[in-house]
Amino acid sequence: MCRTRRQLQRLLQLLGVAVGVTACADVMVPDLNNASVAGFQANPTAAGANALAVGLFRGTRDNTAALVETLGMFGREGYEMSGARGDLPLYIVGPLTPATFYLGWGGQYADLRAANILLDALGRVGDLTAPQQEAMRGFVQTMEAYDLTQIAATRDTFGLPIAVDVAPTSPPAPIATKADAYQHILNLLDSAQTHLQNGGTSFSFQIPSGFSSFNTPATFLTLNRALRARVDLLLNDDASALTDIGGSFINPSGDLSAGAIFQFSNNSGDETNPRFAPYYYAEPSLVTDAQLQTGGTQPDARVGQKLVPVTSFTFDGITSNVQFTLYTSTNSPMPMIRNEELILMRAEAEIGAGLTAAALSDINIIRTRSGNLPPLAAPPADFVGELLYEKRYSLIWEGGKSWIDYRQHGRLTTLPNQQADMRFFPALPFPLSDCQARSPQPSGCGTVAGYPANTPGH
Amino acid sequence: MVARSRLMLAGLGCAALLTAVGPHVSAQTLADGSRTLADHTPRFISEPLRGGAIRYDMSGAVVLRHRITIDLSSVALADALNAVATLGAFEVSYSPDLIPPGKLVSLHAQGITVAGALSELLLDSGVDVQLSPTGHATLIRRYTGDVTPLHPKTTVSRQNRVIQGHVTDLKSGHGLGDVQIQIKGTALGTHSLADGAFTISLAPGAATLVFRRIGYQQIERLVPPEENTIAIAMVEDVLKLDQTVITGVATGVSKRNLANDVGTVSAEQLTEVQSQTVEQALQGKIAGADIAANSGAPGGGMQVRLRGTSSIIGVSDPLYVMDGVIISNAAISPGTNAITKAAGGGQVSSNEDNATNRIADLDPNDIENIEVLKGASAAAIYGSKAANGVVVITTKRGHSGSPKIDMAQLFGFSSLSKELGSRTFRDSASAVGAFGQGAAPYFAHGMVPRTFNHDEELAGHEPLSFQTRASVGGGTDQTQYYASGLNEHDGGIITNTYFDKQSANIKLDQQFPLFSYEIGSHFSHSASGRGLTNNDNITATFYAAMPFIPNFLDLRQLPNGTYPVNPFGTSNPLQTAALLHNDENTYRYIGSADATLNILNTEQQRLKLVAVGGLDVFSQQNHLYSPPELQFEQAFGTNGTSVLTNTVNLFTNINLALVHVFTPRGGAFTATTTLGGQQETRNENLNTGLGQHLSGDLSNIDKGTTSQLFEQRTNIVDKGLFAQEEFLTLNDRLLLTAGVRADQSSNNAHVNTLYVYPKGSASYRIPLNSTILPELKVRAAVGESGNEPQYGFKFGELNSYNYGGLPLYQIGGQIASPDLKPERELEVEGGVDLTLFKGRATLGITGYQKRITDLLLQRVLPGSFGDTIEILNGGTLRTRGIEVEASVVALQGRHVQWTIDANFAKDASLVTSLPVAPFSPAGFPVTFGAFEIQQGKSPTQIIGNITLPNGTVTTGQIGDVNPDYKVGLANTISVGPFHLYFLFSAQKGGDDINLTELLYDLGKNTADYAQPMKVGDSTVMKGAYRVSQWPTHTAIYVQDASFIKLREVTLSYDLPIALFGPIGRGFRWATLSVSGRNLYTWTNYVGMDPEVSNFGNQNIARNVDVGPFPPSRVFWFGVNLGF
Repeated sequence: MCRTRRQLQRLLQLLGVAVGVTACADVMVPDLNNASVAGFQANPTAAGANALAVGLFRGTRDNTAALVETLGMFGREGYEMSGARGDLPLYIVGPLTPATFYLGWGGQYADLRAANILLDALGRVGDLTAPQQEAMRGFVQTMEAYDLTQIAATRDTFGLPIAVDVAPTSPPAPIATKADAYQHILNLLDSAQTHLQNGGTSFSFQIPSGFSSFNTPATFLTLNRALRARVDLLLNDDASALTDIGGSFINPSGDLSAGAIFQFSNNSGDETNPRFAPYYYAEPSLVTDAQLQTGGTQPDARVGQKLVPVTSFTFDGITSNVQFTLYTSTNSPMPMIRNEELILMRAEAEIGAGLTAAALSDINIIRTRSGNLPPLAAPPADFVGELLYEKRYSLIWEGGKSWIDYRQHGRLTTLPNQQADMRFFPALPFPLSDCQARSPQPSGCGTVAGYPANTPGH
Repeated sequence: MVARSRLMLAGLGCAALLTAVGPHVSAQTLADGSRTLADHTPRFISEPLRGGAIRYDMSGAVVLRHRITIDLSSVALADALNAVATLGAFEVSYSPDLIPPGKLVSLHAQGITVAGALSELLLDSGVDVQLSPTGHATLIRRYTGDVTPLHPKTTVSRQNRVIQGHVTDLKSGHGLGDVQIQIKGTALGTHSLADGAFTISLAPGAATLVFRRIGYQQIERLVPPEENTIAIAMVEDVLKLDQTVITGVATGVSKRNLANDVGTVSAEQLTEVQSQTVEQALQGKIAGADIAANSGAPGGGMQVRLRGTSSIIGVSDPLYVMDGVIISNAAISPGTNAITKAAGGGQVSSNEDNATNRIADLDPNDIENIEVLKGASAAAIYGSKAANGVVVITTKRGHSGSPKIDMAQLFGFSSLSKELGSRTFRDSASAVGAFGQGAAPYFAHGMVPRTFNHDEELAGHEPLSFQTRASVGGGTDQTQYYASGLNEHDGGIITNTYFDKQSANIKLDQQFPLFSYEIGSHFSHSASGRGLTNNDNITATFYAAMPFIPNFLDLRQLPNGTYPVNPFGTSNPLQTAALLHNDENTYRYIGSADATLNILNTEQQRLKLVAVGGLDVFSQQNHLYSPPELQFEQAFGTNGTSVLTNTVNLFTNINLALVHVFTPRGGAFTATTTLGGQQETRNENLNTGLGQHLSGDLSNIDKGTTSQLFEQRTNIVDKGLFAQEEFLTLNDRLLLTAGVRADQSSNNAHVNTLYVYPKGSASYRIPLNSTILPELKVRAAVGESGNEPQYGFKFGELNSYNYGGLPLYQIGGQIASPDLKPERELEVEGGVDLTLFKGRATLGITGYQKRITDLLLQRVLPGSFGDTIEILNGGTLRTRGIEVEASVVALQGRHVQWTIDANFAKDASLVTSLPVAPFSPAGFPVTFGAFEIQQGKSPTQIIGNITLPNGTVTTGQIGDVNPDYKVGLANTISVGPFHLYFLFSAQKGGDDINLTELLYDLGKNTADYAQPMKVGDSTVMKGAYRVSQWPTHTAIYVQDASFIKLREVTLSYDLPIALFGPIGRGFRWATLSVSGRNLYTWTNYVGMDPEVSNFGNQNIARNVDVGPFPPSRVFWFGVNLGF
């Protein structure tokens, strides 16, 4: 008996050891790989706020680079002729559906979410002074406006969600009309203007070197105004455009390439230029349709600067013997907005406002300085056509400007078209995730079949 | 002085007694070598049996093995003996004239056995200890006659009848060791020695002995009261009817009684044909185990899915447990995404990188058997990691007896089994139509250019493969060892592709009377070269480039050593294959230990404490080197890419379990109770360096002018408690089991919450007493298990990067999940097992339903929210299936044996409830064929664009990767010395998304592109038609993946040993064999292989074919020797 009892005791001791190993000890393991949103919200520091602000440069850079390709194909600037990717027909034949991918939207709204997390906490960042907070607000709102402009321009009449600072469990932001969306963007830019004006003399965060002309709140405001002028033109508000361009960094006699420039690098943790790849071919008619330089033999100087002849290549119904020389390495920069575009934007506003002489003067600046073309003595009969030509050649492969401009002036379907089944799309649909979250379906959730070439009115 | 010398001797004697009291004592020699211990110490012997003088060595008796702690200083010997007797709970009697009772003695000992204490006190006293069956000890004058040793494993208690026996193998007539012999209705038993001899003590009267041995049919034999010798011939259990199947952490039951359909595969079945990986060796052999290769690349990359789909975004692999250690099956990307940008730029790795999975490190030859617990009802004891089933691997160990050596030397080769071919152009116009003006010069002057077979040039290599392996095992009754070694090289069919493996295993098993342990040590080195395959966005991988290369272009190496530039694309696959290295090296150690302490061992009760645990540690290095001279490196301006990934992985786990077995007197039932706990950690730390713009020929990552660094850490801590009761009764016919497991994990949001998983099962063997159908078993089981969230699922993250050197945060894409918990699977399984024709045939039919609730789901947030997903629990997935396994011994004669094993499995899954919007867990977008989780649909459905008759394009289901059913059929035929084995596996239905064909069609280069076909009234070219249908009619590239494969074939011949003359004396056997794997595939699928997965191991997004590594046939010639 004695022996049994001892063994029972021993048994219980051993069981205790067995259970002791496992008894509800804390097994918490933190996130070992990334910072947490909740951590920043609970304890917003200047370092975190600055990092979120700088993140907007990276976000807008990615978004812009994506539009160079997508809208560049829509606007027949060039083609991604990669068999491996196999999706060229999506861009040139369509139809575009909410389920189609590569439709720049999520990146812009990711910036907005980061911006909203930052703005919501900004007042509580103890180690930033009030002017520093104001400067950051002005910067963040300007970048938000830039992102929203890209969505508004690509969705056009479909509208877009703007009140997106909602809880994840709440219904998604309602779809604002095109007019409301643009008004929201203008309000953001104007609010940013006020904040920048109250923002003291410097930012709390470092400004990348491609934005060195805008590294104080005061100089950043000239970029803010330049971006506002773009919105004005999309709204056909030529007077406001002229005002805003006046407040921008326009310099008709200055370096045409000066402006806000996204830079890429091979540094660890940074990104390389995704548009540097051998499978991008330019629309070959860019060469054949170019005006001739002064002297009458060479094509527009912009052709030689930006394009290079290569062996003819055919893929998926597209043939081209021209490639781009804009992005010649993994760290080639990509413009956000630059002086040359501002001069052309001013010409566009002046044409719209009936200021023909001023417009002609600005057009000739570009013709002579950028294209080495003979200046025009008088406005041509199709002055808009001439403007579109200059914008196309000056801004080629910089963010889908041809598609936006030709649509803006109702000439989308006059762009080159190599195959009868190719289509011109007036707008991109919303992505599937925003469609699935909404009932009834907004108009942006339909299929965009596009128009064949030379459809009147598009 | 005297006392001290005694104490010293006591220490020595104690050690000797602990290890081997009894028959081996006489062999022990004192330090001075003059006398043996036997001259000093008393022996422990039995009373003389009725009618004879035979006395048995009783030193193994339980009462003598009991441990006591004693502290006596100068007490009378009589008092000392009484003290030992009291502590040891026995009585001792003696005649006072035998010993000096008043002699003063001292004894200080902790945990000494009773035998040791008595030996110490009675040292040199000239007496022996005679034990009665009731444990009464009598001191007698030293007995001078012989003492017959009892087998040390024999447990002696209340027995007075000794049976001498001999077990042989019926077929060979040779003695059979390691046979477990149990007295039915008790927990008492013994084992046979290597020559088949055994001794066992029985109570007076008739008794039934049960003989069990792995690989043999169980035998029960009634021993009449007067019979004292017994001869048993055991029959090989061809159909494995009596295999013991592991059902808990430290318990098992006979397959005869098992309530679940557990797939078991033996060493012989695993190694009929040499295989690179364990999964490969299992293909087609287990009903309900869907095992498919992700590609034909050497070195693994296979996925195992048990009983259909169990999860959507949770872990997709079953849990792998080897000798009690949870081992890693990580699939770590080699970093090819840095080149291919398959999943976009900016990241070095993706799930499209054709990774190996680490089960590849195991050597199938080292495995004794594999048990596959297919679902929660069987695997509930493994808790929250068992919802995908558990693969329990038991490795080979030594057996007592003289050393047995097995050696094998194999030579073989692989050969490309399917060429895709490409279009042949007869005229300039069609070539220019496909490849542009650049094609025109090839057709100058109306000539038709020479064509090249690029498939053959790339993948037509047949380098030599070899494998050398040897093992040795043996040991004594107390100590067994096993060691094995392997050196293997498999050459790949593409330059610079290969799989090498070296491994060394050492096993050591030791049994003491009360304590035993088993130690296993497995070391391996695996190396593979994998080439560059799968999806790609820069046309660099072999079969992303080939679709755009005309067969009139000569890609072959030029006399100056360089390769021609491919003018129609950005890479020359032959150059890529020759110069790019994608090498993986893994050094791995798996150590396991299993220690058992027998606390109690009586006729009715056994209690043991089992500690099982170990660690799995590996260091994996992937080095991807893409030198600057490669065409695509120049075209994309990266000028050389080098990616070095180092991964350190450490898994540890320990199980502690108390196992109590109770058999009441009379043997009405056996109740096995297990109670225990487990702790486990899983760490993985992955560091990647990327260098580009390399200088010179150096592949060091720091030799690039640009570099990127990445680090990814994973750390998981899990703890669990479990209890299980197995109740076997009604003459071993009814088995009832109940168990429960409770787990906590650091991967759950609430890390301290215990999630509880119960299970229960019953099986009953109905005796039918018919010669055709002697027995029918009905069984039912129900159980729950979980699938815990993956590491990182619960966090809401900000990603850190930089812009021009400025640090920054961006939205990580996933919001925090504050209530994340494991998925819960409830599985109900039922079935019948028939044993027919005296064990010559078996048929098992199983039906099951798995209902997975609290699924880990992705809620796709509206893109406008900014973050893209939330991971949450919800919804229900139901999987139902049926499995049939049949085995027939068609012939079993003296020289002939023919066995047929067949299995059939069918399963179907349905998302019965989904609280989130339909989402795509992985894969490509709809235009290419997408995987979408939708309520009321199969989780593995493929959706795509559908063009309605009115021309509108809609999205809907166009296929399903899940097959209708799978079948395996094996034949094993032995005729004299010849042995023929072949295995077919087949699948009906299931779809592959053939994007390789889409690429060829986009290149207007498919072999059948220009073949005419009728569409309505017009004649079109096949390829042109297909690509014109895409992407608005996605189904055109979603194709039936039904197949029949001749998976394994082997023909072997046992050489007559006599042939070798005197040299062959030591040989047990010598065998020559010819074998092959994946020799032929019958399929209508036009891709390379219907078994394919661009996205690697996936729950859902499988069967996507984008330029995979081409499949090969494998041939082997081997010599196996045993001596």
